[in-house]
Amino acid sequence: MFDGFDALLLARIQFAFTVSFHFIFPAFSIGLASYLAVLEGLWLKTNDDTYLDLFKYWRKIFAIAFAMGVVSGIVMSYQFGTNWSVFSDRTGPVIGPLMAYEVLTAFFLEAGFLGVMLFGMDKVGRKLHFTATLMVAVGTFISAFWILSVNSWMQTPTGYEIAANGQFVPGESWLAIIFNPSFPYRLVHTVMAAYLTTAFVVGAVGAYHLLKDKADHRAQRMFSMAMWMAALVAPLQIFAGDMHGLNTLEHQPAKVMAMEGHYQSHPDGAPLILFGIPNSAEQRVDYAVQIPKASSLILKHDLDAPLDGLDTVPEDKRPPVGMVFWSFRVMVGIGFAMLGIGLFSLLARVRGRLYDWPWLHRLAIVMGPSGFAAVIAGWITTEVGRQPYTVYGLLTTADSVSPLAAPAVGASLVAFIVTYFIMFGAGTAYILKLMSKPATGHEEAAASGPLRSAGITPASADSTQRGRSGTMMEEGA
Amino acid sequence: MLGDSDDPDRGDARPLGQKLGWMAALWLISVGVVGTVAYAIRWWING
Repeated sequence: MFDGFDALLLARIQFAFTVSFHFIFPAFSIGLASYLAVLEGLWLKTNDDTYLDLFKYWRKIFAIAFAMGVVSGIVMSYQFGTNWSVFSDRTGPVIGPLMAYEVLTAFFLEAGFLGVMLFGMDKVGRKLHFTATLMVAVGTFISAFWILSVNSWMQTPTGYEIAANGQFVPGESWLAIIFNPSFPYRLVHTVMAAYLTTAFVVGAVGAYHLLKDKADHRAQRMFSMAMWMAALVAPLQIFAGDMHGLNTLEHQPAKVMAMEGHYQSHPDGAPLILFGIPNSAEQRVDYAVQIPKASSLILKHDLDAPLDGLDTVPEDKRPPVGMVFWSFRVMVGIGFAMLGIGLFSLLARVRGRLYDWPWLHRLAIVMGPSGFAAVIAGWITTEVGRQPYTVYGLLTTADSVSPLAAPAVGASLVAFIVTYFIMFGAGTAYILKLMSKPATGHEEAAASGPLRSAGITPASADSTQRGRSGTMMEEGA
Repeated sequence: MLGDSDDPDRGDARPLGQKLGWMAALWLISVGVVGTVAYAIRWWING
């Protein structure tokens, strides 16, 4: 079935597919773990049960998202051995320990304390339970730290030596490997993206329930918290993204050329191409809508600064322009839309209409999944923009793949597609089902108790009995 | 599922040793579950 296909291309499609699926879950769970820690901390500090109700509501969703993230992540780590064994062999001495730390963190901090967070409230008490929640939140961050360090080393490799057998081995200091030049920028940009992704999901759920009942105080609380995040973090994220771009220009200029659509060099100031259709065959952007010299202003802070184009890069060392050009614009566009929602929410807050402005709530619902689209678009920008290398400038993707036949890679790709859509489709559907229900609290749980009892024992289900049961429950509460 | 055993007062009332014991037990079970899942996936991919 896959005899005519290229094994390298199939392996790349397989990794792109599995990493795209995987990235959705940690992008959500990194932010949600911190949100849960904030909710539980506020509950302990203020004794306001609304925070506890929200904590319980989002904890269920976190558990499912986390489980799907772990399963999809484990598959990816095995893929390094199955499809990218040459890459693993060559780079293992450098990235192996870092990935091991990531796995250890995921297992022993995130997964281990997740069990306590889910099932331990009545067993370990408030303080230890909050400690467990903090461990999960810290664990997700440390996990992100290590995996982004690995990825950043692949983008901007430093601190290594090349052994006689061709392997990358650690140089004098591990710090040079871990804190490679692009790592601080990528860490900040990606973690903030995760926080924004979570904020917009929480905001959308809050908005959905506010449209149904604008007096729902739990929906109000989650919507308000999410909109504060949007208003405060979206501008910071745009600034961090700009800094990350400048770092990329310094270390991976060909990627920035592809992002900007600069096929040709511009010695007297480069235009900022807002939109257009990259035409790699003709080495130009068709129907370009552009602002003269603005790219030089953004990237060099000088209108007339010269900027090299892809014509200065050998053809076999250029990344694919179309995909990088478009994914970059999708990411930036969503970032500015997030900023717009954040500003809209500030206006609504000032006017006292945060919970009573249906257009804001409708827009927040539309923007709910936008964080996922943005992180995947950003990921495509940085990973496709790194091509044709796995380790930038040193090891090509073509030289990294396992000696596999196309049918073997193709068959496993089909298996992954089928399994992922069934398993993660079911998980995602369940998460959406949970989100469609409003957050409830102690009073609703108490109120629903006697009605269920009446259903089990029909003989006592007359109105007098139900009324008495309800009164007794209220007294008990 | 999760809300039924969520009484923090019950947890606070336990002796410290029992709380720590539960913490360790839940932690070990959770790590064990993830380890089992990891091996199951490894077995699936290798198979």
